[in-house]
Amino acid sequence: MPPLKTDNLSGKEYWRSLNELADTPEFREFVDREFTNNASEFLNSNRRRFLKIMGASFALAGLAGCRWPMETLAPYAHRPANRDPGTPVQYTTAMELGGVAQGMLVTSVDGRPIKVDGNPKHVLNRGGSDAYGQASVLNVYDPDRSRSVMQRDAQGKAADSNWATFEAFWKEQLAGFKKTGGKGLAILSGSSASPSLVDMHKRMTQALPASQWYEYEPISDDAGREGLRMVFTQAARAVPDLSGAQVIVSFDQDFFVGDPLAVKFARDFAKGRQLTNPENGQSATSMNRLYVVESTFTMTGSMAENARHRIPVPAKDVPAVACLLAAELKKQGLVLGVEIPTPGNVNIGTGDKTLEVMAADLLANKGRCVLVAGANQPPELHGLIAGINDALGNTGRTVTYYPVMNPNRPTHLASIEALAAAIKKKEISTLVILGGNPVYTAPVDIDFAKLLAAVPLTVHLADYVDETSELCTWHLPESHYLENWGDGRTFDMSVSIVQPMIQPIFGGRSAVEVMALVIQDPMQKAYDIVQRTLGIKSTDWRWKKALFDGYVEKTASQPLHLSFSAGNLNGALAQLIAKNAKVKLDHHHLEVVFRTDSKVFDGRFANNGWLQELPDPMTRLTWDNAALINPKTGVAMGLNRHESQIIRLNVGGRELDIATYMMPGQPENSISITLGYGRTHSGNVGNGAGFNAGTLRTTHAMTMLSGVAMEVTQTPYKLATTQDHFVISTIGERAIAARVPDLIHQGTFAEFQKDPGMGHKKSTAVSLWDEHHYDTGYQWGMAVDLTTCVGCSSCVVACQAENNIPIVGKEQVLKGREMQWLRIDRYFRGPESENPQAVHEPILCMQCENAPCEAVCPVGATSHSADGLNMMTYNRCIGTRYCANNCPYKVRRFNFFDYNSGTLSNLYTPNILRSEMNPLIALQKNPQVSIRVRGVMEKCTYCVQRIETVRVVAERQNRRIRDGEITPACAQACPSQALVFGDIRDKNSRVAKLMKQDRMYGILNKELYTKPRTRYLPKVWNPNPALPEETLSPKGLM
Amino acid sequence: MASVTTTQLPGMTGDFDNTLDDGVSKAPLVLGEATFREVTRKICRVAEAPRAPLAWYVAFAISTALVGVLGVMIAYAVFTGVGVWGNNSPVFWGFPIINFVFWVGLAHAGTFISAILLLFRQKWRTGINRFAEATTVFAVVCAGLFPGIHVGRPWFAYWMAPVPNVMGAWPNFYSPLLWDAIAVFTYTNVSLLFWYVGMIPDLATFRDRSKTRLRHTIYGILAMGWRGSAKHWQLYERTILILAGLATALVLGVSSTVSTDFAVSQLPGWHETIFPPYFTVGAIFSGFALVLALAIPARELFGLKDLITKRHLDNLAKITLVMGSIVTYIYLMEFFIAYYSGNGYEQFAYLTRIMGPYWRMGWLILFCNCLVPQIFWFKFARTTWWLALPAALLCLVGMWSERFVIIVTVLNRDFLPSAWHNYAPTWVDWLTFAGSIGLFFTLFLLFCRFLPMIAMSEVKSILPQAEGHVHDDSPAAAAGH
Amino acid sequence: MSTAHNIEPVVKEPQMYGLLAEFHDVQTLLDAAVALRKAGYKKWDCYTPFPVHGMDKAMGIRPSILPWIALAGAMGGVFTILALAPLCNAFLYPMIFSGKPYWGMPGHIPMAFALGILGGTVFVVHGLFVLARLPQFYHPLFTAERFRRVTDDGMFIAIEATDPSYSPSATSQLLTKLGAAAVEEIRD
Repeated sequence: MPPLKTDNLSGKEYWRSLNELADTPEFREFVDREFTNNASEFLNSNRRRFLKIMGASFALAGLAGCRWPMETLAPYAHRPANRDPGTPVQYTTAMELGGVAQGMLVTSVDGRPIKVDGNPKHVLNRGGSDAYGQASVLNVYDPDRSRSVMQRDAQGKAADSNWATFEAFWKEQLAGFKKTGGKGLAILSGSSASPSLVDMHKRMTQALPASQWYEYEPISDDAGREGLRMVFTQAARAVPDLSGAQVIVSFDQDFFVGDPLAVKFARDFAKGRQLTNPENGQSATSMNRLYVVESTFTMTGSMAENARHRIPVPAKDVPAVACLLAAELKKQGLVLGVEIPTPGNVNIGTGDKTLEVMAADLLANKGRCVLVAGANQPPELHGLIAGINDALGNTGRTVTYYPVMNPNRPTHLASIEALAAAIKKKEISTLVILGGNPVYTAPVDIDFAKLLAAVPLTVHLADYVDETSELCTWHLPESHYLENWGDGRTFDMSVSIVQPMIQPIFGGRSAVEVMALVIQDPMQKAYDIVQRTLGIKSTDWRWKKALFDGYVEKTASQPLHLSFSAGNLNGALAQLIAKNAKVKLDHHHLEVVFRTDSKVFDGRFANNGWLQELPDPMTRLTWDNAALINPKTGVAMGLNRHESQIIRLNVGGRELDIATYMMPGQPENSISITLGYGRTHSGNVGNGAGFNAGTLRTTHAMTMLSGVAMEVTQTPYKLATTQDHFVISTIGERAIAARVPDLIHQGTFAEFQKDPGMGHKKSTAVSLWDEHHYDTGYQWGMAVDLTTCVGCSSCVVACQAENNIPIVGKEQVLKGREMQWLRIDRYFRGPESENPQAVHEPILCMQCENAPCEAVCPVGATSHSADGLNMMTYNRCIGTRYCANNCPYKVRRFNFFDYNSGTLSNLYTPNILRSEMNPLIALQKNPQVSIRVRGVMEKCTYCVQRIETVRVVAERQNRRIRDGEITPACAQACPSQALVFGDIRDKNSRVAKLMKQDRMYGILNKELYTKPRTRYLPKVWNPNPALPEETLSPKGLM
Repeated sequence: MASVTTTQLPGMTGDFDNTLDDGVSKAPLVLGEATFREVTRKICRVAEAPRAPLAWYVAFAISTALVGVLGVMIAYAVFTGVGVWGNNSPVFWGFPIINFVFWVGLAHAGTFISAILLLFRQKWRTGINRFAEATTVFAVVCAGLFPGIHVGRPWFAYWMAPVPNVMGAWPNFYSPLLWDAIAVFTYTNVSLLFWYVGMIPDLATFRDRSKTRLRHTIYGILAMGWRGSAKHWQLYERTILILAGLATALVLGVSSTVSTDFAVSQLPGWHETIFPPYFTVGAIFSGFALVLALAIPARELFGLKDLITKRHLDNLAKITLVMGSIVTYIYLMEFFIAYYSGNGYEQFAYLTRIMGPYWRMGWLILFCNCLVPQIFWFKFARTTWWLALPAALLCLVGMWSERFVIIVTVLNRDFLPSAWHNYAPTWVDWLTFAGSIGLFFTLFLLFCRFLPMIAMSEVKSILPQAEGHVHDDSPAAAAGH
Repeated sequence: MSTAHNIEPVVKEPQMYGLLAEFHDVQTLLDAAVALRKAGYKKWDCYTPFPVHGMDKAMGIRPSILPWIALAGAMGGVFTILALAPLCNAFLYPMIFSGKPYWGMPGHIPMAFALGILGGTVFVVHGLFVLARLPQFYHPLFTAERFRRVTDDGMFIAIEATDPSYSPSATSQLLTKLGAAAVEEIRD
């Protein structure tokens, strides 16, 4: 019999991963590597500490009581008067990441911050947020956080101490430095735009002129600064405005992961792709087009219009491709003030025609296009890109330049090298490290650990007792940004005040406060220091307004007007190209590219369970990073295509053993590894997770490295992915190819313009019985736009935070028991595996009107509400799991164990022998959502607690709920506004306007007539007519 | 005692081949010296022997040990969580439900033999119906175990009953699980009562033959003072007949209801109208395989060859063959329907059975349930224990695998490929399954040792000398007074 | 007779229950039964280790009402569910399941079927016990040594002394005439 109707394929082939190629069903046994050897203490806090903490937190529970007299927190939504206990209150604050402050909106209950979202008024966030921000709240309550000042004696034994002792100790030190003007005193800080910290720096140089200040950030945007310095004679920050661009070209720039501006990029990019405006229901007349040249298959790459709009090349060849494009542009008549060297033979696959078309497209859109260079690319490329943008007349339109904090500082790399040199020369007698974890993040060839030993007195301020703390004389606990006052600047230099929600649980202090201590500033509390720096008294109305808005008015700086001059770029560029041309890549000389991790960033979030268990948008990996290798290269080098195994990378005697992940779309002979894993002192969650790419990272190769030899070991390794957990048979993979077009409707912008319905047929199914009519009151529904979803996954973390969803650990993920209510399916799509596209499809509960799950529950634990919600009654559930079997979308999650109590390492121990939920963790839980016990089914509820809260308010005011008044956590977090929630009966609601669109479809509605309330707008691409999609082979991949 | 004339030819002992009727007279169903007293003696011998055969003690030791294991495994699962099994998402149902459906299936032969064959006046059933019914009762006990422990919160399982509660919540009567629970509950009670009522006269026999006071008391209570009065016999036979009628409907109904757990769901491979007959036939098939597999050792072990004759084995094997062939037909029909439906999801569900990750199981089923029974076309295989026994056991393996495939291969590859995930049972799963087998044999061995294995009164009633004719011409006869 | 002499004089004379006659083959028993019925005996019964076909015809026992009892039980089971389901799901606590009607008869049939059978079974079994007056752990006949074989190979007829046409001598002779291998008096 024919296995499947091949005409279903409709010319589109979907598949999910290379694992699907052979038919070798593997059966998972216990994976005892993870969690058994460490994490034994995970979530366990000892009693004495606990009492302290609870004492503190209970004091805070009445935050009103203990802190109001001293300091005023101006609430965002409600007045501080008539605050009822248990009522969530929202405050603004700011989180600094990569030297840029994001405006945050924090939900706090009885003095406990429980949820972080983007501040709708903040220029960077506009209400959106990324996974880092969403998850940051969990760190506040991390039991593994550093809990007290620690002093290490000569033998290296650490002992608990306290601030008073340290302060007394430091006063003596300072007396000494006062005499010498601070000679031998050095500060190592992370990159920060905090005005107060900058002010402290200034004060220190005044007080102790001979003291030194160094800055180091492992993931730095210096390349951009320096590149622009070359061509603009001053350092600046290039801020592309994707919303205004018709054509976008990315040179190894991943807009959506790791970049401090990721939230803004996602929002702007989506704006240019939104085909139906929810506000007025108008259809878009134009759609932006994305070309990508990249060294790793990133989310950005997955958004490229089709395989021919994406050119995978090794990182070192990206500048060369840029030169080819520039040359092409010149050939087509662009006046470009840069001498373009002719690169050697660069293999850009089938991309040459692409470049030609790309150039034409750019020229056709002068002033309405933008080119962007990735932070991991050398300054020369940034200079060149600035030149091209300038020549295309984009400057000031689609790309603006903003000033940067102290523009004349050396680069982070130069800075850390200078520090190393100084220490080697015995010039440093005292080193104060403000945050950061240089022992783990600094280039290996500096060997920071050895340097520390050479410094007589080292003081380390950190939120965890990490690799660096282990080697320092003093360890000082750092306060979380939700615990202490502070300030920061965002990309346009506008200032935001960092407002605490809770007293430092472990008595930590911020970098600013420690600096105040170091220089014995008259003001010691950050609260006062911030007011002094900003020159605003807390009694001043501007202070309240600033806290209310989340930023200080009139602090944003004007864009810089800079004139481009190639200057010494020409020479540098020629050198770079020549140098790179010499570098030959083959199986014995591979390239390794270091990338920011979508979850742990540079390792600072390594102990954050939510992020560790968050599936990476592209690889779907949890609890690990891996070496992403092009399948062709991998197989040629004898790697198993379907099973991960350990390889040994070797360059110049430095070795790294790491697990492989066959990533299609990777350039050949190039391996990508994300930073931040393989931590040894991150805490019980992060320890032992993944592999430390830093061991290959040297001062000469901070972002990319070539000439790497690879040795294949036969050691297998279990990678926990939430998709393709296993090998799929050939027929299975054919089935996927056949059915995914039904699951993900898609088409091109041209097709959309011809027929906005995009040929979508309404379901013709008829019901066997007289259906329930949902034609009264509110009828909730959600529209998901597959075109604007970039797959950034901040919604997943938001859902986890809002709904008290537990993490289950690597072993359980391997068994397929992850708990996230919302998942983002990733399907590869394309002619062959070497260069496919990927589609991201958020899957949450469809809230089917004919929900298959409901009828089969014997105890009626899941039923339908009058307003169309598929409700789950936890305390009625007996756990037959029939509902989950019968759910076609498999969005229901089951508590196989009591994930909320005990530790992840003793899940298999009978409950009576396991400890209660850690009270510290309990502080983060959302009181409006019940904690589910073992043996109970759970699922997405459209955040019913939010719906009901608003309903109560509305009914008390005797009015209907306004559109947009209710936002589920996922929709609130989504930076690209791909999720729209509302009342589908209200004709004027945004969601109703979207539901009206003919192309709107419900997954499996045609087949099963479930009448889902969560509906999807098809994935629409905008390929250049000159670069149509190749017709796909029926076999699909390979 | 009076000498009753028997129609026994000399040398008609247990190994005599009574499978064929010569055209003249029916071949006897009871061999050896077939007097009432002899029948009584042969059957009671087993229960009255001071010591059971050594094999009995060995088997009993092993099976009770397994019961201990079962207890530990259940306790572990209940106190720790369902997670100790291999169940995952999307394979939310694993071994417990597989075993449940398997055991329910095994529970079908007994009722089939005592009910349907009774209605069809099949005299040969008398030799085996008693312990066939016993297998039914014990299999149902094992089956009933699993739904109880498989739920996430067993201590609340009673919420499936309409118990008035403070939440004012009631069961959902649309749920097939509820139908299932009620059907299995009914089946347990009916088969138990059927079994017990049928046993009363024989228990009376035990009572009257008992030498010790203890035995006399126990069997006396169980026999309820039965004294074989004609009025009793009349009521008794009528009761049995009615029970047979009800049980016949039930034996066709239970597996059908169990099958709705799957047929009423939406999953491709489950959502099928063919399931009710499919499950029923499969159940009877496995049930007869079980009875066959038990009858062979039992007649050897307890010297009952004269009563459980080759003819009985022959008939059991024949029915197994018929059922096996129907099962085969249904398999083919399923694949055809899938192909003919033109529904890609449906087609994939069946392809993946024989080509997916569990293709080995798929083919094992086809071998065990379709090919193996075919050897029963040959009389030699039907009546030779070293052929019949392994064949019967293979059929059991096949039917268990079928339950596995129906549940696992459908769940682990449903609609959304992103949710696909394989299933692997854990050691707890295996030990629990083994434990349930131990429970079955513990009960069965106790039954063989202490209860009438064969329905004496019924066997006696089919002896030639039990026949008589009423010479009565008076009209009053029928009416009586 | 023999048993009579063994009794101590001090004990008050136990009253006569009746006569127990043993037969050796089914045919004689049947013929005896027919004869006794014609002779007009009322309070008597036959005892056999297995159901004897035609015995109720021979003795003229009326057909029992068991079938009606079973029917009642079955109906009871069916209507219990057909009433209970709507009561719970449509009236006491109406809930929307998969957009189905609150009251959907088809969904209740499988349960009605099962419960019907359960009701029928329970009723018929208890009907048996009531009509047969079981359990009855003591019966005068149990005092007779030979009666213990009634569950083995013994076949008996017992005539009660309270039978109008009973007379110790005549009845005993009649039984002997009808082919009884032995006749003994039963006292209780």
